[in-house]
Amino acid sequence: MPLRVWPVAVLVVVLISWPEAPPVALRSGLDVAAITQWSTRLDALVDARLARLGRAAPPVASDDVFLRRAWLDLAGRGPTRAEAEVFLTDSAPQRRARLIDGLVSSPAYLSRQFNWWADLLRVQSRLQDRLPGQPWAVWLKEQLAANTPYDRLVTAMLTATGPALAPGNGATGWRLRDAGMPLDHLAITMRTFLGTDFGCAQCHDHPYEKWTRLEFYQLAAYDHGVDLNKSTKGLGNGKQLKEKVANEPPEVRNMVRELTRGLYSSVSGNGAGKITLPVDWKQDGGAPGDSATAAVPFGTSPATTSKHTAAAFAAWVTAPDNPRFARLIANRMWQQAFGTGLIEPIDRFGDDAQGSEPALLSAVAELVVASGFDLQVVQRVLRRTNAYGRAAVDDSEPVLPRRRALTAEQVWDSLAVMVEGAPEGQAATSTAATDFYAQHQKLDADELLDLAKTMVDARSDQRQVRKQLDQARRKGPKADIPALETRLAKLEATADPLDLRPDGPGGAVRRASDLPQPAPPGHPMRVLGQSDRLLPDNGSTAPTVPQALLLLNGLVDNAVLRADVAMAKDLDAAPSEAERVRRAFRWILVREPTAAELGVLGPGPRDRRAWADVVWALINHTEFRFLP
Amino acid sequence: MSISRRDLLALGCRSALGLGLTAWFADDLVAGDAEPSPVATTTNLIYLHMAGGMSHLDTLDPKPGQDVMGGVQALASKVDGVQLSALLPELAARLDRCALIRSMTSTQGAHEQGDYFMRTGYQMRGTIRHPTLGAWISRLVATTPGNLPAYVVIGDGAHPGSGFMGQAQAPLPVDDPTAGLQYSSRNKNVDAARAGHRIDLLTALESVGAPAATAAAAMATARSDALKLMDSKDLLAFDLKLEKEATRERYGEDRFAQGCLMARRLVEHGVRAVDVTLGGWDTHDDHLDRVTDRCAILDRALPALLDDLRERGMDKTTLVVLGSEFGRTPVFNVRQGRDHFPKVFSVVMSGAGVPGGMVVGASDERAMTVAARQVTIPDLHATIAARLGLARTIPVHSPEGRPFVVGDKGVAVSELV
Repeated sequence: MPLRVWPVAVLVVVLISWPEAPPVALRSGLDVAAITQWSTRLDALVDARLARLGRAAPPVASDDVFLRRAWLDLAGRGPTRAEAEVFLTDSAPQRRARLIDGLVSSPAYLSRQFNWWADLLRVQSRLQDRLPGQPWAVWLKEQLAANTPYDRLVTAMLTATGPALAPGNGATGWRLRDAGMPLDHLAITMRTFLGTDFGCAQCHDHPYEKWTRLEFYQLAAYDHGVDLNKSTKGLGNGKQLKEKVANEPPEVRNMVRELTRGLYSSVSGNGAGKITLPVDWKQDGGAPGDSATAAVPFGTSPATTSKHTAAAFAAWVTAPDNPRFARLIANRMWQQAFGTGLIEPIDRFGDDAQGSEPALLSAVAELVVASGFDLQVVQRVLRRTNAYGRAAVDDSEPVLPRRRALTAEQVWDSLAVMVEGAPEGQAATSTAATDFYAQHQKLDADELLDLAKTMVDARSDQRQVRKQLDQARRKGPKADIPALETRLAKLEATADPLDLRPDGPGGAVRRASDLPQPAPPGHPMRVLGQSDRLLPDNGSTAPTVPQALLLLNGLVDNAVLRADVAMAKDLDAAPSEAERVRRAFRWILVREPTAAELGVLGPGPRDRRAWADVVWALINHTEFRFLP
Repeated sequence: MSISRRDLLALGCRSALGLGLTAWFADDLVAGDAEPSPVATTTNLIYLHMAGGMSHLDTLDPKPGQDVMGGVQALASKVDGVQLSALLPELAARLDRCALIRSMTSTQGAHEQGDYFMRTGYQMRGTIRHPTLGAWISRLVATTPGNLPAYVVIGDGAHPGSGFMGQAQAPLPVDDPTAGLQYSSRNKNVDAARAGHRIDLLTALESVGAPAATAAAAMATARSDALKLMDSKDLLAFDLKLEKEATRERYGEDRFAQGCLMARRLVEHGVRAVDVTLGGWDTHDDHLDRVTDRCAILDRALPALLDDLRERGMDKTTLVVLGSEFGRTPVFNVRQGRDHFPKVFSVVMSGAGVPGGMVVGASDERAMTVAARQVTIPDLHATIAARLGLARTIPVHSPEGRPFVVGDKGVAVSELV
């Protein structure tokens, strides 16, 4: 799709479902009273720190600030005007807590959390080498909807084996993400879940932390042998397939390759418990070719049965008494809420892992464990503190909310909501890939070849229909569009069961969590700084010239300023010019206009063009780009 | 989202949060906490990447009379005793202005890894992203403040970019050179007057709003830089319609060719490094047709670029390098195609004082291995760095504190520097 043509409305339909969010399930006996107690305890520690630093607490944030902050923070987008009204007209004294609880149980929250996890875990819709990544994304969404405890989520990813596309097996995506690079995978695992910068020790004793290369290899011994298995034993005779395929045209051969990747990729191995030191070994503790036995570099050694050590590794990582597991997620949760972690950088704990306020970090870590690793509870506790409800600051004092730039997903989703109203719940079947697997896992070479040919034909038909659709959308006849879209959708099922391509039917604007992961290079979200998912937390909020150009010239005019979008219709329906101005501010900046701003705008009336300019200005306002 | 590690680096405040990261240096590098400061240099880089693995035998390293040639002939070049493939006659006629390396070697035979290695000089890892050569240039070279970034990438969506160097050295991507810079022109319903009115309204609203914190000020600066760019002559660098039709014709109509033309324009406007990519070289099948077709595009665009640079007196300050991630198998596969072959392949470069007519190294008589003077990819990067005046003694550190230099442990090819 030509990169220069990215009108927001003609974008991506991704066949992902959002299961109905279950009612908030409270775990481990942490009822509202307990949650409130925790918030109070954390507040005491926060206030003690401020007192010690001699720093006055900022005033309580205004309702408008709290409203916008909570929505962007928990729902990943701004509220519609109607959604905002719910809070603003709630007169109960505990309405802020109610807002927090309500947001945490909403589908919007799931979408936002998915973005956060996808960034951390480096989720991709298509992994390297044509491995399917969608099952992993779908699995992650299912876990979030079920509020699976964090320790069980991590354990599932660390121990998943079996076919990548088998129903329910999406957790294999974590291992497949680094297929063929088990040592790099270990380094990333240590950083992502234990805040330990182990990577240097992969090749030599760590230069400034205490980890040795021997410790790295001993840890790698737990998972040794667990990796991507591409065996096509299920086909009966892989060589036979190769011969049959040799004389087929390139598209068919590529399709066969794609199919075998999808159908036969699996994670296998249970962990050998031993690993051979490499030929370039120069360090203490062994010689090249020696065998190293599984051992952990800190904490309590897990019980192992030899040759099934991968599970032992997972148990060690996720143990409640692992000194770093709970502390790291505690640190991440704190940073998500306040903008600065209690240890920075967020996932490099160094030797002492205490951070700037040891008592506070320990308390949050204790909360994590006490909640049974229920992150929804942790997030509710953090946001029900007085600390969270204060006016923001611009520096990086960890116990004060920091005014920070919105992420690419938050900007995109905020614009999406102006176009679509509330864009969650655009459900479609999520099981295309796993259904396909279930149907086709027992093919022989001939059947696979036939299937490949069918798919190649379907794709070529698809290209044709897309061209016709494009034509019809641009020059008409418009009456043809529905029929073409239906045809395209039907072809999609045949042509692309393992992969999710853009240009599906509908044309609705999707939230970031429903687009390909990540968005393709050149897509507005990438320009806005979305992570390329090549490293954990690789998103950027630094301002750039292409971003500025995007908002000045591209996105806003093409999508948000159209007369038929949700916000425009609400503005149109305003009974007066003054009310219209009010509504525009409510939608975009989630507050009332100040008297000075009203002065700048003047009384109107404005024609449509002038209105578009007002909306344009509010979206390009720097205030829009920041968490209040 | 908090200050990400990349933001930290970009804002140059590694110690902002009281972290005292101790640097650790390899033995032969200069110890100390200092990062290299940008240095004024005069040379620019245009790197032309032949994506997919350009067959060396069918282009720069023919072996006339050998079975490995397939249907392709060789022809004499302007340099005595040196032949090129008959598919590149125009380049052959200009070989006296170029230096050829026929003994390149790599260990990476897969596209993603090979491409990454060629672009960054480092092996691809799961735990870090290395900067590409252009990002190194952007980092190490003092650039005159203007509206254009130091580094632009044309036609390559999957480019590794600036890696751990983050936004500060990130290249500006241009997808289709014939379409200019993405989002740089106003929506068709917005004329200059209306655009002006919008900016006035925006400025007025912001001026009565809360005073901007540093972060918001940075965002406003990016916006005003963008506005300046839109009104500046520098934006014209991206507009190929300003070139004479004859010039555009001379390069050829393929996007790559127009990308080469844009690269020349960008360098004229102060951009220090431009990458342009030509894909389609991965000829496992349909080899002869496709390599002929690719060479036709290349043999028109590259000579046009070299001539154009020389005519404008830019050749002395512009180094043009043509490379690929690996070569292709001399022995044909069952489909008369060639497969990946990193063991030996070729690179050609021109300009910026590179000695013309020089041939470095050789492959054996069937182009199957290096026969003389092996040049690794890091060696190539070290050579380019030397030609461009980039410092290699003081390392740049990743946010994790690891030290890196451009060209890693490569040794510059002395004949070329």
